[in-house]
Amino acid sequence: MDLLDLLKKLKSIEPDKEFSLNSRNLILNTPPKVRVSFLGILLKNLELGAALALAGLLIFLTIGGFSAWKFFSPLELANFDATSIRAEAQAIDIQIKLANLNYIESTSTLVGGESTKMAASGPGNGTSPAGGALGGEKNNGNSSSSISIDEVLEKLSQ
Amino acid sequence: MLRRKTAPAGIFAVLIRRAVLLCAGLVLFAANYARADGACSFTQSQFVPLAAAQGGVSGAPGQIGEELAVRKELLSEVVDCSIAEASDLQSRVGKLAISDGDAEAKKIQAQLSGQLGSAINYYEVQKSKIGDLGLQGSKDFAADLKTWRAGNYEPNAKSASNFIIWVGDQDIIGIAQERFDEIGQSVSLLKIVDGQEIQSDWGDAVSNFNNALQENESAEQILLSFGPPEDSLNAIKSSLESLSVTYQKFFDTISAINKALHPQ
Repeated sequence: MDLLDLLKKLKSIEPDKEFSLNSRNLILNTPPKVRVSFLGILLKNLELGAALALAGLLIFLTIGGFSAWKFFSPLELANFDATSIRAEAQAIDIQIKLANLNYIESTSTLVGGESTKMAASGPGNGTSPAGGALGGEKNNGNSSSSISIDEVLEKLSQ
Repeated sequence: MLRRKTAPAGIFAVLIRRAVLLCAGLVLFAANYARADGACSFTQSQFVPLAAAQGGVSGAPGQIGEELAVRKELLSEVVDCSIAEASDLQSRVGKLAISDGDAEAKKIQAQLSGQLGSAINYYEVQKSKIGDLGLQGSKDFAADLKTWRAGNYEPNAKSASNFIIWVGDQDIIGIAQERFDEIGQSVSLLKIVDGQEIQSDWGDAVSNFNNALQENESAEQILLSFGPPEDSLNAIKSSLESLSVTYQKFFDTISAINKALHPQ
């Protein structure tokens, strides 16, 4: 028997059937190695926590009488904004008053306080034509009234 | 565009914004009066020296010289006051906060500022002429300046004042637009419910709000094209009045919504 025949015999060698079955059962029944890591523990706890929180929320909504209609209710909106709407309306009223202010009044008028001098010394006493023009016309006895730039120019043109 | 506020932070932001707007309106309103108090002032008493100079012996050389001096003094004061008036207005126009996106408003701002600057230059030139005036010349000078103001300065100054109000309107209209969208969303939701009163009030609100926007746009176009200041002011007033009615309709609409949701 030479080497070649020996090799041909090896080809036909098979394991014992019982041994094969035992070996396979042993492999399949061996539990996988569990890798314990910090991240794994954390993830597991988070998963559990999230599940509990979700369950709690569902119970709260069910018992608490959650209503989608109430959540989207226009009434809710109206109640919330009533004060704001009033404030906005007031802002518009203020703006309207501003728009109604006369330009002349807001830019070129003023107040004086020396009325008595004017009354005493004279432009309105009628002794001078120029005095009448400067003091009498607009004044009408009230020399403290303010006059605008254009009124001053009008007086100075006479 | 529909919008809904749900986050508490958003609600606070809107509340704060609206409170600030109201305060700004009050401050602007108060400032307007304060400005009038701080403007140039003339009283009858300032004409006492002139009346005294005119009250002497008629035709005497000393009397004429004295009267002329008083007139020149008053003319100088008037021109100084006019310069201060135009400068103040130019400053207020220049300080208006206009977004870069609003090209037309920016253009109006630049135009008005330029025109007021030209008026200031004109006053400066006129002031330099006062020293050389004679008695009759001073009277003519006053008459000419008054005519020039009426024809040139006042239309620009009025337009500038109108523009200041118009810019203030834009914030108010922006907030009204948000409110309009918000209530409109609620009204749309309630279309499924029987709400004839709601729809009627809301229809009025829509109509008035559209009119407010239209008049607001019209005011801007008049200002842009140097239209009569009376026209731009009328458009501004009309826009604000429509906006005021719009808010009244907002209240009515909300009241109708409440009634529909809580029938008694």
